[in-house]
Parts: sequence; C-alpha cells; structure tokens
Amino acid sequence: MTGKTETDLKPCPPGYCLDESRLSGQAEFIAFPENPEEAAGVIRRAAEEGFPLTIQGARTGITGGAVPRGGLVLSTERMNRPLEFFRDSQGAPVLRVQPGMSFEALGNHLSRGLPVPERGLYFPPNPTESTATLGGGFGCNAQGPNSLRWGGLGAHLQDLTWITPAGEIWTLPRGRYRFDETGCPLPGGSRLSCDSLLPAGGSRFLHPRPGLDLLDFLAGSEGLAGFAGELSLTLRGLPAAAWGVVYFFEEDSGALNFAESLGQWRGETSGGEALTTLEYYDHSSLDLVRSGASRTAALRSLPPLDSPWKAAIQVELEGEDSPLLEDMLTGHLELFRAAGGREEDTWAAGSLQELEKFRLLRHGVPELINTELDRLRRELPELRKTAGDFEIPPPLARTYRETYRRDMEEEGLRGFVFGHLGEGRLHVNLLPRNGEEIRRSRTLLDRWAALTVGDGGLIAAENGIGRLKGGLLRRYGSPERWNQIESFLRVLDPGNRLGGVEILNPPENGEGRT
Amino acid sequence: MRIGVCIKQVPGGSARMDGETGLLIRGSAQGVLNPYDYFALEAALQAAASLAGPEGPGEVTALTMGPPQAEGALREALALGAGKALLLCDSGFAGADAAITARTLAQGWEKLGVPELIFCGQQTTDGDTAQVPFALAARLGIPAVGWVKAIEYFRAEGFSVLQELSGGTVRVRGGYPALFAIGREAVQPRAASLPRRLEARRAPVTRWTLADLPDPAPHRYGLAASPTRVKRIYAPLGEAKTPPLRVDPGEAAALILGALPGREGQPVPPPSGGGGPG
Ligand SMILES: Cc1cc2nc3c(=O)[nH]c(=O)nc-3n(C[C@H](O)[C@H](O)[C@H](O)COP(=O)(O)OP(=O)(O)OC[C@H]3O[C@@H](n4cnc5c(N)ncnc54)[C@H](O)[C@@H]3O)c2cc1C
Repeated sequence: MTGKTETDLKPCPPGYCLDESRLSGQAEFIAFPENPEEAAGVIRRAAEEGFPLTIQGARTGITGGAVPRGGLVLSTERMNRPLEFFRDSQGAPVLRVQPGMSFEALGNHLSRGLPVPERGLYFPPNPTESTATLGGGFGCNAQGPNSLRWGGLGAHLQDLTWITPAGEIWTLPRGRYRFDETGCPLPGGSRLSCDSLLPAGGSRFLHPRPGLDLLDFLAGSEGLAGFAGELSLTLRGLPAAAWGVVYFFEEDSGALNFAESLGQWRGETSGGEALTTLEYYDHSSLDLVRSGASRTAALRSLPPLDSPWKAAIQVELEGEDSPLLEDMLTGHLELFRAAGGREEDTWAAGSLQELEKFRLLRHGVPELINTELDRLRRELPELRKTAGDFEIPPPLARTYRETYRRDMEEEGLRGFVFGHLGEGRLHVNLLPRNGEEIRRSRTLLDRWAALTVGDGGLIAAENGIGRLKGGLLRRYGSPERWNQIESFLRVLDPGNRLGGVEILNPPENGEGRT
Repeated sequence: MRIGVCIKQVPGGSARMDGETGLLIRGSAQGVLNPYDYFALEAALQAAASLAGPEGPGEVTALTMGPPQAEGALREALALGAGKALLLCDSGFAGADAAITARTLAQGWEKLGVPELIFCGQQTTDGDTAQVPFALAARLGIPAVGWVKAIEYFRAEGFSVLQELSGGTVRVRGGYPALFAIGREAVQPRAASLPRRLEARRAPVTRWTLADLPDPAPHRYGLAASPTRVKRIYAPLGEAKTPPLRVDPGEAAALILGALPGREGQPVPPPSGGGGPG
C-alpha cells in the first residue's frame, strides 16, 4: 500500500455518468486513485471542497447507484489488481484484491495467475455480469444464481479495508466488530447505537441483527456509507463434480410444480452435495432468447431452443461425491416426469466447463431486455429500466408469478419474469412502449411492492435501491426502518457527502419514482 | 449407412506449457472434448437422422486415439447421441503427429469396417494443424471435403454442402463414401439430455491396443514413426507493450481520424475546444 497519496481530479467524461439502469447524471470531476491512501485523499478532498461524491465500479449496476449527481466521481478503474494470496490460520485460501478488479479478471487470475499448486480455486459469488467489479459486487452485495447455496458476496470476505466518508481508513477483519441488541462497536472506539431487533421492513439495506458482523452490515450499502478499498476474498476448491440441467416445459404450471417439488432438495448432504441454483424462465424470456440468440454473438453457443417450450427451470448441483449427485439427479428426473416433463426436453452438463454454456441463458435474458430497452428508448427517451427484484417467501413464488402474469396481461404490458425461484426472488421486467404504458408499469410496480411488503417480503432484494427504488421503499417499507436507515447514514456519513439521505428519499416525481 | 465421427480430448481452459521443453503438460488441465468436435458430432447425428430408414436413424460411432482419460471425450459423444464408442489406447501411440494419428485412426476404422460417412472437427484446439481429416481420408482412400460451413442435405443418393475457401464459398455435391471436416458455422450443437448423460457415464467403451489393430507393427506408430518434430512451442512474446491511451473524447476522435487509411502521418487537426492529442 505504498505510492502517492495525491490524485489529480480530471473533468468527468459523459461516459462515466451512466450505468445499466439507463439513468444518466453529471459530474464535474473524476478521480482514478490507485490505492486506498489515494482513495482516502480523494474522499477527504471531496469533503474539504464540499463536492458530492459518487463511488463507481464498472457501472453495470441496474438501479443507478453509480450514476453521479454532480460533484466528483471516485472510480475504481485503476484499483484493479490482485494484491496477495495467502492461507489463513485455518488453512483457508484467501486472495486480497483491489475493489476495481472485475469478476472476469478474478477468474483469469485464479486459473492462471496463482502459484501452480494453488490453481483450481474459485470464488463462488457470481452476479453473471463478468465485467462487474468486486467492489461493485460488495456495494450491491451481489447475489448470482448460485446464491441459493452461497448467499451474497459479503459473506465470502475475510476482511475489508473500509474508507469512511471522512477519509479515515478502517480495517475490518471478520469477527472483530459485531452487533448486539443495542448496536455495534466501530473502529476507533465509537459505537453505532440502534435497535438490532427491528424487522427488515421491506429492505436488507443497512439492516442490523444481533450477531451480525459489521462487514456483513456494510455489504450492500451501495456506496452510501463508505468505500471498500481492499477486499480479502475467501476462496474455495473447485467441487469434484458439478452438474447443470435445464428442464423445459410446454406448460408454465409444470415448471412451477416441478420447482416446488424440488424444494425438498434444498439443503446439503453431510458431504456438502447441494443444489446451488434454481432458476425459472417464463415463456417471454425464452422467446426473447430464441429470437435474440442468432443476433447476439455471446449466445451462439447455446444449444438450439427451437421446441415450443413455454417455461424452464435451471438447476445446478455440486459436491464431492459424484455418484451421490447422480442419484440426486435421478430423483429430479422422476419429479420432472411427474410434473409432465419429457426426458428429451432437458439439457444436461456434467462438468463446470460445459455448464458455462447454459449460464449464457441466464445472462442472456437481462442482457437482451436491456438491448430491447435501448431500442425503445430511441423513440421514448424518458424510458428507464422498469423492473422489480422483489423477494417473497419461496412458497409464495407461484402465486406471485401468477399475479405478475395476470396484471401484465390486464394492463396490456409486455414483460418478462425470470430469476431465482428457489429463493423467492423473481425478476419482473416491463418494457413499456409509450408514456401511458410507463405510467401503468409504475402503477404495477407500486402494487407489487405493497403486496410484497404485506407478505413479509423485500423490495429491491438483489440489485440495490440506487436511484430507482428509493420511492418504492419510502412508500411501502416500514417507517421505523426508514428512520433507522437515516439515523445510520447520519452516523456513518455525517456530512452527507455520499448523498444517501436524498438518494434514498427522492422527490415524488423525480427519478426515484420508478 | 454407417456413420463415424473422429473426436479428440483436448486440455480445457488453463493448460500449462513446460517452460523448458515447450511441451504441453497433459493432466495440467481437465480434459474436454475438442470444441470443434461438437460440430462434427452434431453434423453426424443430423446426417443419421436425414438418412434414417424405416428402423430409425443409423448408429453413429465415435472413435478416438488417446490416453485412458480420453474415455471422457467418448462419454461426452455418447451423451450427445453417439451409439458406440471406441478408444485406441496404447503407450505405443503416444507422441503421434498428424500423419501418424491419421494412420492410427485409419487402422481403427479398418478394423471396425470403414463407415460410408466420416465426420471430423475442422481442427483441434491443442494441435491446431487441421491436417488429420485429410490425412485420414488419404489413408482410407476416400474423398474429403474440408471447411464445411453449411450442410444443405444428406440423402441416400448423395450430399450437398457448402465449403469455405479463401476467396469464396463452393457448393460441393457428391456421393459416398466421403469424409467431412466440419467448421463452427455449419450446425448448432445440441445439448445432451439428462437421461442420456446419466446413461453415458455407465455405458461401455470399447478399448483397443496396438495389438488389436490390423497392422500391429510398433515402429509404424507413435513418436518414433512421426516425421514431424516440434522444436519449440512458445506463447506470442508481445514485447512491444502498448500502454492504453487515456484521452478525452475529442482527443480520441482526432487520434482515430489521424490513423484512418490515407491519412497516416498527416497532421491531426486539434479537437474543437482546444488541446491536441496527449
Ligand atoms: C446483464 C446483467 C445481469 C446482471 N445479473 C445480476 C445478478 O444475477 N445478480 C446481481 O446481484 N447483480 C446482477 N447484475 C447487476 C450488477 O452487475 C451487479 O450488481 C454488480 O455487482 C455491480 O458491479 P459494478 O462494478 O458494475 O458496480 P457499479 O454499478 O459501478 O456500482 C454499483 C453500486 O456499488 C457501489 N460501489 C461500487 N464500488 C464500490 C466500492 N468499492 N465500495 C463501495 N461501494 C461501491 C456504487 O456506488 C453503486 O451504488 C446484472 C447486471 C447486468 C447488466
């Protein structure tokens, strides 16, 4: 961590003022620090000069969290290096990285850059967008399809170098700072006081509970509580066996029945064999891939999707005991048949390399929705990403799927439903074609948010609140939790440099109104 | 009609080279089916379906020469739809170059009964010579069509395919027997179904050694018989490092303009708003 501590501020080019939400903002300056000291210097300078500050990774976020609102952008583009590989006191492999390292660069480093005997390790969190950064993944506590088993990115950190909005550098080793019922000690002797027993009230954002590590509390804080300056990633050995299977159905109900019956397969065997992924695709999502595959180079290696399938369930399993996994799959196949599936309507991969191809399906859907969004935006510039990432108790997934479908049909709206069915986190994306449809889409998102919170679910459960979901949360989340979040932000960012209070509290007709 | 497909196991993603000898360290990466062979196998399965008689599509036989673990590639072929799998496996085969690999494969086919239709991937991702299909056809004395980029039909009376050649595309029509080297654009490989993939894990794979071949003379196989010598393999050196330029959009536009054909070396106009390329 040596090097200069002064970083030049440069005029901010427009390319750094937008992200995958299709929101755009503006900023006067941008800084590209190369280490935590430089980043702390930039943050202090923003504080001294009174600049609003926006923390930015690769801008693949889909709720506008990295879109600046004037002032200064702190980009991690030049903090993109692996730093150190070591084994911790328990022998677990750990890689310390800078926050601007992308998931793709991490994968390459793990397969080619580590000392030879250490090859064959991997980092489980995978938000599917390989250009995203690890810092951005921490900012959103990214959860990819395999979060069924592995949870969010934060859970896979061993320690964190955190830079506060005042420019102080904290070291947060896992286990040192934990919440009790009344709050959490902070480095330097101060304390974050709170009622740690308050229910989530619609959002995981800065949600404490007794026993929670400060590191996990800050995961998902969306660049509004400080800056992840270095991350120590806990790595794992590649599983001895891995399977990926996509089950296709001619009826949506078959897919949902099958997924429900797979529910019993959640959890691990004593040897660690487990279902890591349980994803759902509705017929519109499959149609989108069908029509987009020939036009999108990345999707060309997908197998043909030419059968009249109307829904699909994608699962992945991994473990050490190959025959046991095969037994589990034989069990799945029986459930598939019982749900009306035909054996030939399956795609199966029996190795990590092969199952990568099927992951294209999962990544292709949001990617193609965004392409479609861009096309529509040429005629309708005010159009933004209009999507919900609600999380509801998994047994309610079927009802919600049905509600989304019925509501979209009744409103005459085009939409797509796909995502992490196994965790009750279905993504619903709408593609309005005119101003009136934008209005109706927003009404639907409001209706679904209200329903979700009523059922004890979460709004903005995966992609962050950013500048798109604050309004929903304000309207439907619990006021007690809202006040708690504001009180945390007042302690963590007393000067409101990162703008959390306004960003999460947008004007009713502003960007935050989805 | 008998249909065969030649396949090969190649190192997956992160194979390593021995820094001293320049040779590939086998076992340094998980073996996978050569990516081009998926296209060959798909073409074979589609041909079998097109040529199906009243009893259904004919069986596709997959053949490979390799170490014991090359059985993995054959199981992949079985999972995808091949009906039979044959591994030519003997330490005497090790180190074969393209010509001797073709000779060994030809021996395998001769013992099995040479199929009327043989499919190969256009090349492999490790050897990369793209020579084996043609050397094999020469050994078997059958015609070969390489760089197949589209299949128009396989019918009982003959085939029609499009072949990519430098400078153009050629339509090739012919009868059987014939051998095809299939390119990546020709077909869209299917995925294995779950029951097939599970069955393929347990399906029998026939294994023949040198002694099983019609010509069992050891000196005609492997490294000793191979006329090709690999003197050294090395990664492109990339010594001339070009650091990324960090310029604003105006400067970038001026730089690109200056690099356009016919404008090289001409003075680059300063971008509006001042400042030349930095
Ligand atoms: C096609 C597509 C598919 C996607 N699929 C998924 C998915 O399956 N699961 C999922 O979780 N996400 C998904 N995403 C969203 C996105 O890729 C992830 O959330 C990703 O983690 C964002 O990383 P980034 O580097 O682009 O961050 P950015 O977009 O630049 O920033 C995201 C947020 O993190 C904050 N941040 C960035 N760096 C830091 C840092 N060093 N310290 C503190 N805060 C920081 C920013 O301020 C911002 O609020 C998808 C996106 C696309 C385009």
